Amino acid sequence: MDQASLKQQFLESYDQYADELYRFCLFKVSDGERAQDFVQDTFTRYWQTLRKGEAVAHPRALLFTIARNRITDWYRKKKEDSLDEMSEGGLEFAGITGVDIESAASYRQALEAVAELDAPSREAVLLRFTEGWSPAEIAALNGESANAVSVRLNRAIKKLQDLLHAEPHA
Amino acid sequence: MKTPEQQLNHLHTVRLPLEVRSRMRAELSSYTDLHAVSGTTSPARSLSLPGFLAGFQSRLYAGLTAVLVLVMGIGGTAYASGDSLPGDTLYSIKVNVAEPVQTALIPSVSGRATWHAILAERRLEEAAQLAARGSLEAEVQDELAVNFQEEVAASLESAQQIEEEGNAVEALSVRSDLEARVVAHNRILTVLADHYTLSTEAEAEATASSLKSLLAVVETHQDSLVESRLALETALSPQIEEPAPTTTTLALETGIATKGTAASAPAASRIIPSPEVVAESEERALEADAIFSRHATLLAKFMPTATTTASSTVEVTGSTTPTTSPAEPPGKDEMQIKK
Repeated sequence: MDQASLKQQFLESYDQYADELYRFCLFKVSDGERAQDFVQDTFTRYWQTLRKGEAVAHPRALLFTIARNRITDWYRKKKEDSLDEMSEGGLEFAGITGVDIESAASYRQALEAVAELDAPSREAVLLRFTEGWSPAEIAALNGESANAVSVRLNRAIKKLQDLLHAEPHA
Repeated sequence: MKTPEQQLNHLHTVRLPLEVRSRMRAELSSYTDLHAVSGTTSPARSLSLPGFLAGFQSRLYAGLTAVLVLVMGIGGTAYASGDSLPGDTLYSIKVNVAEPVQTALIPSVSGRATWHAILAERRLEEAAQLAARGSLEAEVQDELAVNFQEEVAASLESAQQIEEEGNAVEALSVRSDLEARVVAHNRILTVLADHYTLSTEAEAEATASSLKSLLAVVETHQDSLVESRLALETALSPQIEEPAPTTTTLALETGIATKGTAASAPAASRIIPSPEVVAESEERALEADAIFSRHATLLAKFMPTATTTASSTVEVTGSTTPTTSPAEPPGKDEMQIKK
């Protein structure tokens, strides 16, 4: 493909997936600016793949895979306590930008409950219910079966219902 | 009360702030122009520059404005960004605008090979400067390591092209230049790493750790560079049948760990390095020494003894301590006699 068409395809992918990718990164790193950096980094690397002429069957899956790998690498380099935070599901939302304060408060309850889940469940739940991915699409990202994802989702939702039901509701 | 699914769905409204989104889109757009699909005509012809320059899309104007940017800077900032380090506000402009513009303006393949070698060196230079201040963080080191590798790869890609065009001597020259730069900075970073490893200052451990990670990357690439340079030298040098001396001259010349080769060189044939190869190896050693000496001031407080003069340094072997290989000087003399 020539430069002009490829560039157009690339920018269309950006227009289509940037916000979604941002949310994905944001819920993993809990920092608005850092999430933005990851989005830009991911698209940059995505372009490098495209310009080599490699065929990309599923742009969105590739983008999310790149982002996820970059974030995993980044976490590995952070100090021990951050890793513990992540595995305990301790997420902070102090740094989220682009979200007004009132909305943040209403998100907080849902996000805190989600934070109690293990990382794979958290990711599955956000992709399914925030982004609307099908279990098959989520499974493709992980290299596992759609069935395994569905089971995980059901368990996660049950857990969330318990957690949110137990919370005092204002 | 909303169900969990509903609440989660509501999170869909979290978005990239509008101005962030459009700025990022513009930067990515420029990025694709500067890193165009291979086979596209020179990026300088379709350079998309931010701000008021973006209007001048015609080939002639793009070339001229690129030159103006270099000379005057974008509002005076691009030119001034040359010395900036990761963390400085101008650093992003340096690596994302100023350097790519300069890259795009170089017409010759060998020019680009050398330029990418310079950029690879710059990334290591920046790491050294930060480390000297004790502020080389792991993330920054990682980013610099990645960029270093990309520049090395770009330089080698050009060198490969030169070789394919049939110009092996030229290819050797650019590879040799890249190697010299990497070797010199390996030495520089090693001095810093050794200091921080032994230091008991606060934060020394973090800096030592970052430096070691970077050095691992540098050394891997250095080994690979030496290997391919050797292959090229072999291709350029005639091979003759002769009873061998107790050591192979090429093994000495490179200084690669020669445990075992000293006593067991095959007697069947010996490689006589061609004059170009000899000249390049001398130039390479001089270049590495010169780069190292330029950092004498920076390294002064980190050196165990004041040994930054060119005469006391020899071509680095890729080991982590700067040692002089006792076998080498006789090897070089021997080579000259045999010439």
